[in-house]
Amino acid sequence: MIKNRLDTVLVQCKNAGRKMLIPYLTAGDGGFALTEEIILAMAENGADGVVLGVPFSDPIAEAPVAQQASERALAGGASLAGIFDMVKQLRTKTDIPIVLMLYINTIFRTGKEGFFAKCKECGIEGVMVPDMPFEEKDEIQNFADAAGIHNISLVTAASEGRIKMIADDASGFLYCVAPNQGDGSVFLDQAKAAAEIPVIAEAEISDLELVLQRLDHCDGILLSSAIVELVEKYGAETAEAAALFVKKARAAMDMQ
Amino acid sequence: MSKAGRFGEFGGQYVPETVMNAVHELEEAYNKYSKDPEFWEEYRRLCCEYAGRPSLLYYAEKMTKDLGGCKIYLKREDLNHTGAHKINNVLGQILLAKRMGKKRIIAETGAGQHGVATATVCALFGLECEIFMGVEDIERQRLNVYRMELLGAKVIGVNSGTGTLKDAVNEAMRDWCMHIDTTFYLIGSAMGPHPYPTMVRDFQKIISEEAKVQLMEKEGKLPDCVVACVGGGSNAIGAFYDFIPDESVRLVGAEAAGMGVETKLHAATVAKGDVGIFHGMKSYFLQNEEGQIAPVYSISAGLDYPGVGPEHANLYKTGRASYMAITDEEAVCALEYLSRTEGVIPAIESAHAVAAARKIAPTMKQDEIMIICLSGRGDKDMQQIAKYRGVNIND
Repeated sequence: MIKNRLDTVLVQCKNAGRKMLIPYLTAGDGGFALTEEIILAMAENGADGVVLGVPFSDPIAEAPVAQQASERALAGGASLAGIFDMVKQLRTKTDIPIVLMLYINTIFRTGKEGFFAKCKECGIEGVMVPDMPFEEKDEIQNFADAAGIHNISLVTAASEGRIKMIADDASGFLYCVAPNQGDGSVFLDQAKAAAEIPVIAEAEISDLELVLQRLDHCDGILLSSAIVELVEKYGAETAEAAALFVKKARAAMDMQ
Repeated sequence: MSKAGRFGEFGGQYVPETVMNAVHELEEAYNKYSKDPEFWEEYRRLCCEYAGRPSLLYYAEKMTKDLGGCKIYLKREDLNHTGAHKINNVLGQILLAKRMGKKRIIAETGAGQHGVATATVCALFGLECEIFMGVEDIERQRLNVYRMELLGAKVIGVNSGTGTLKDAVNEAMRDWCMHIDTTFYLIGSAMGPHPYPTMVRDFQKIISEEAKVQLMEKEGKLPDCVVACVGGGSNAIGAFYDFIPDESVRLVGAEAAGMGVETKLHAATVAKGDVGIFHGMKSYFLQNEEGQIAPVYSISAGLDYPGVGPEHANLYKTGRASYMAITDEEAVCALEYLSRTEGVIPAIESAHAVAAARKIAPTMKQDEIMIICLSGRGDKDMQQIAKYRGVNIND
């Protein structure tokens, strides 16, 4: 079922046999103007979607790199209201699908109905909520459905016995957090076999080799830390570095 | 879809997918062993022979006379081995961890009492033990850090956020996510995802079960009021639980008002918090309008937490219990008061309950009875109380 831009891009990529490239970055890290600039640079250089982390005071599911980005963004005054404004503004310039990664308390406190209505109004296509497992999904599912927003599910290597259950009920794409070493590809194959929707694998590091090793086992890659690390390193100059990184990754992925 | 572990609208299992199998494994193990008489027999034996239970129910005669209201009893959890109620829960969870075949125990700690209890029982059972503690708390509870290390535990300083209890919980949860196969996360309060709030409550309810029997022997009746301090709320839920069906018993929680609830420096979750979802549970939390968890403050590291256990949230919402906010100054005065009146030095956490009792007792009748849960002893706090009063006890 086509809900929004994300579905359109998922279908386009599938039809074209193109592996998806979806970078993550923390919204407001370095200021909203920088976030906007980076998203546009990545969109122009081959990113198929963007996951925007909503800064949170206590990001329990985040690795240290993203924790620090969240702290920097909050210290810089980033807010959910600011993120909505930025995306609305961004929608006059790009159609790249945008998914928010955020903690359940942000949605709950904002008001579930109002939150998803606002997502729709601003042009956000999906949410990923790391502290809302399958068993608690109906906390938000009806509200997300009513607004036509994907509530994207996640599976990890620790999801043994749960992958099918989660995949059957998943929306948009299935996000797979695979271990960097060892049986990462085995786990991805299991997810791929269980899911009818595209399987997007996490690549935690900026190592293109690993990204490429994963490609045969999934429909795309979510770069969870590469861009965040660039922001940490280059600050206000990140857009250029991000454009270059995405361009290189895109070319390498298309070559394979 | 199953709605496990709800207290009214509160509770739940809001944790990352990474730990869901572990949470279910724990839930199944708890369901199994909580029906096993042998499990409870071992728990009770350790409570009696190792931790020194039953704890005394002591009639505080001088305090009673001085306040001129109801009769006051102290439930002396401070006399347990390791000096607080925390050991009740640790013994229960370690017995469970042992049966689950877990070799590594992790825990968070605020004041260090839960950390010390965990390190103690890990030493007893020969288990690897790592304790997460905020750097701010390490600073104000150096003695407990030393005790934990002496007992063979590794204390890991947590730098992130405010460097207090909530950050220690964050870090322990992250560690659990990464070492799910080998590690048992021993949560110290009646909080977190299901089954923790229920399980911890079940290991702490021994407080109210004993107190009920003890008071019946001494007075032949139920108390009229039970007072306990509340951070996450484990000693309070333990002290309340067996009295919840007895509607004549007034239940009062004392939470930390720090510099005052009208300031920003407090941890008065029930008085000032809003419903939210954090640390695995739906409950009340101190937070801003966008749901960012607020930095909290209290002189008491054990009450310095921005949330409260879900069963307390429900007791408050349904009106079964009420919660009173006690400032640092009131708590320190109560600590001094109990020391001089009864010769009992309470933990600064427990002193919040004593302070609440000092307000309530004079309003009650002389033939009425109050039980104060004296959750811990105050030795660990001497450095900080001296500092608060401007006394230098360092050489």
